[in-house]
Amino acid sequence: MNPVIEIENIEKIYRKKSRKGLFKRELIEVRALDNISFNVEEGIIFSLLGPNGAGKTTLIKILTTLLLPTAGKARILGYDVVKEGGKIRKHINAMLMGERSIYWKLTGYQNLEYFASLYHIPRKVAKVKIDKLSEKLDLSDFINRKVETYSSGQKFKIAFAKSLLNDPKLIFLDEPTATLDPRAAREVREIIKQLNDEGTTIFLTTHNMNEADELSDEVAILDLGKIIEIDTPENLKEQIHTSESIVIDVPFIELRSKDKLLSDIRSLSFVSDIAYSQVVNGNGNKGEEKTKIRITTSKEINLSNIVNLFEKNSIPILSINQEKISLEDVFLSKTGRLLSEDTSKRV
Amino acid sequence: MIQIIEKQESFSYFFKKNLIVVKGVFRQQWQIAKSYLSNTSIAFIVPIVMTALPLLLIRAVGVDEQLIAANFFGGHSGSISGFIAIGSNIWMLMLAILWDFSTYLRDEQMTGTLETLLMSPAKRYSIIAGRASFSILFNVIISFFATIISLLIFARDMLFEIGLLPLFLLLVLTVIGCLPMIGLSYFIGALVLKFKEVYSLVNLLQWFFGLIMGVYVPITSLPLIVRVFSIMFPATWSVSDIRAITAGSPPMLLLLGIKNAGFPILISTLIVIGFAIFWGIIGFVVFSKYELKIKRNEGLSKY
Repeated sequence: MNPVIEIENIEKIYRKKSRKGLFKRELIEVRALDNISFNVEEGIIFSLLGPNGAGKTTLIKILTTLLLPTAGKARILGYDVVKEGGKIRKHINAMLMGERSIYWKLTGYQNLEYFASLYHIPRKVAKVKIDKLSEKLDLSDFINRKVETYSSGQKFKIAFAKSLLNDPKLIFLDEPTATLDPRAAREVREIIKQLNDEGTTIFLTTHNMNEADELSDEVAILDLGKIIEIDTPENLKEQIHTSESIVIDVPFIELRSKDKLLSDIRSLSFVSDIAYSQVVNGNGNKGEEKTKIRITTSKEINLSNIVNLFEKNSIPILSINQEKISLEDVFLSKTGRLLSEDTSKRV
Repeated sequence: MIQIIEKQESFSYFFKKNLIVVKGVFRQQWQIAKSYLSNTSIAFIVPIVMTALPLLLIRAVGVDEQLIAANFFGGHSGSISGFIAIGSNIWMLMLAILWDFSTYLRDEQMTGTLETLLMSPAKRYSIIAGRASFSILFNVIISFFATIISLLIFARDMLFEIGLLPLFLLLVLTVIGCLPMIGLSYFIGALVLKFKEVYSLVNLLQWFFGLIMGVYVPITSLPLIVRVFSIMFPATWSVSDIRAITAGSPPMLLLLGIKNAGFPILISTLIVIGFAIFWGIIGFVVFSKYELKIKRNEGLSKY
């Protein structure tokens, strides 16, 4: 096996001085990555799955030479990320900030031509490459318009095309579909698969479990800066000894009622894991919040028992669904939380 | 483990690939500049206004311009209108470069493109060379025409008396005068990347630079402590020598009391080139140091 990424005991600590009064300053340390080690083999799609604030972007930035680790070693294509950044940058590419990584005052074509020059691609060769990418990613309708007139999906496509200009052996995609509508996201997933079929190794971070499940040959679950588990999506799901979970939406629940309800559900013999998250809809008004409860069961379930508990606690059910076991359940069983939870304040 | 076999690069290949970056950055800067045409027109108008203000004051007060010239130039005869027109235009040119370079990294950081730029294999110096060549060419062309227009309006006699050689030298010395400003501004830009407060710092500096380079008054009339900064500021040398060639004022070495310097303009030019090398190195070293420091901590995208 040929690892394209080798990570050995990587640590990243952010140090920030915070003002306390007029003259005093306090040093705050945030451990974003905690002793991480794993390898990524050539030719696969590798997903780093974790909630917001887990440390995914920090790791991707270390691997793309934009950040230096506090401790540990990482090698990309055999080159050290700290000492041989220049050599690494020639052979990789990345899409980290999506639509913000391109110049809005330029046209899509001008952007691609400019970035091609940064990869030492002569103008004539760049033109041929851009034409091919335009065909592949269907850019022709808008490539000659200024980026500021594009939709989110179009901006994404140009940013994605930019990251393919140097025919990278390894490409890093940070939350590639986060800002896209479902149709555009589906299109992007198809492109990622196609790219991988052509031999490019893909390292992507996401907090979308379906995306990780659909695309990945291997998944690493990252939480609070630590790798919880690494395996294929199938093996990870097999660790949960059941095939389904129950997702229940209820209106926003106050803390005390929530604790009581969760403790009641936990007491049911067939419940193995339970987690909840507050989901904000629309413009984020409190009235529009709802609570999502996810229950993973270990054996044959009795749905009426669960419904009765909600009735007993006077909490109306908005919807109840049985879902196939997903990576969300794997994350839940390992951490006791849902992927949608923002953990940036916990780190 | 994957092993990539890197080809040995010849010098001509190395040169060619860096030239691709320089040309690419130059082209991109031109394409962006075309989107902001009003900026270009402002660059034409502002130096003319900055020339008009003190000259109109002189004319309103009713003092004889020859008398002022004698006072300004220590007994030499010269054109006070030309002195001020050239001072204003060179000052505006230096400010354009100061703003271009000191805000460059910060602007890229705020738009989100700095990481993309620094993640490419392009060498930092070829990116800077592309940016600098555009900035100098674009701003010098604007400044040259703005100077001609200013002289046409306020010092027509002087303009028609200048020969082609002094006009050519004006252009050459202006270009050379821009070089240390690029290093200096890049140094300021690197500081800004760390300390963030770009616009207030550059705003403060532009007026300070206007004072120390003697835009409206000869540096000999500045207080001693200010004169020390004047001598250390490369644009003071450039503007004094351009004035000496075109407006008849004494060159920089003479202003410093060095009377038998041989080729005073040539010596000053060499000093300006020395400044360019000094500030170029300082700018690059400070940027590399801060880049490393930022990469060790919060990363380049944090602003």
